[in-house]
Amino acid sequence: MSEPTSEFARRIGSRMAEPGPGGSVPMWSVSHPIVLHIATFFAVGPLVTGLMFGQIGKALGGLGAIVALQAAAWLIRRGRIAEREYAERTITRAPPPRKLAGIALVGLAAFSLSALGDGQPVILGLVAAGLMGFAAWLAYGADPRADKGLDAKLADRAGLKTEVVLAALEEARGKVRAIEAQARGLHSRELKERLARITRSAEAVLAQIEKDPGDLRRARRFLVTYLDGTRDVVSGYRAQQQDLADTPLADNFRHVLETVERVFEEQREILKRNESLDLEVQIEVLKTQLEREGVH
Amino acid sequence: MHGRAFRSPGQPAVNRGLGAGLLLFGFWFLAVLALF
Repeated sequence: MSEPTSEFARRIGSRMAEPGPGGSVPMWSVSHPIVLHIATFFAVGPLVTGLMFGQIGKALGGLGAIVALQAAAWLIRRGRIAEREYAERTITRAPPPRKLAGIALVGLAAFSLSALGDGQPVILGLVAAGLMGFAAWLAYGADPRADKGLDAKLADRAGLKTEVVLAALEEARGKVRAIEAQARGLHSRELKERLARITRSAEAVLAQIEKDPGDLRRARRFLVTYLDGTRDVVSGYRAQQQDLADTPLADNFRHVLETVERVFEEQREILKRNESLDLEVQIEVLKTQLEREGVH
Repeated sequence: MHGRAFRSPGQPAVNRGLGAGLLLFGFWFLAVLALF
């Protein structure tokens, strides 16, 4: 689990970019349940022959298995993504049981193939479903079920409720995701990279807060101001980027992002050293800069 | 945790392999039964 190379990276002989602390791993590093896709392929046979020879039961059984297996594969992959997030977070709620639902669907696929497709008695269909469900559980495991780090000791010590911490983190993460989504629509590669660095720093700050919720007090206003500011500026710029390219306003936009990047790095360092940052000053810095550069 | 493709951290490799083999064989078997 600690190898720094992904399957894809190993195949092409390169290394994947190491994500920063708390940074998100690209989606493709969560593997697909390939076995379920192969099993889907097996179920095509009964569907095709059933259709060719007008055997409705066989065709329906095959179709049911295909749909159920594909849905199961999708659910299990979503479950893995949730599980990875769960593993990265210090405090979080248990994710919904997606993998368990996927396993149930694998059982349903087996039932459909044997009872509908092959006309076996229901009891044998159930046995097949149980066996395949068990196999899927062996292969994919169950979802994490317990809430993590919610014993609230840390939060209590900081005089905060766990709910408050979770809600604040969730809100901040939503904003980081919004910035990422906006950044995808930018044409300039340089600006995209800069925004990627900014969101990584923001996530690192959030991870730091997770570890020590006491930091939330100190970082909250900062996060709100800077994340909101960045998001608004980026979406404003994105809407008119065609007209703005190579104008002074584009330079101003770049300057603002430089400031945001620097301040996020500072905030991260400061939280690490457990010092307090003069937030009012930093917030004023952004406000005056936004006004001066006229991009807000 | 970072880097390598994320599968199921709680499942031992033997279980994963067994499960995958059982799934493949099982669905192949069921499909062949349904086919003929």
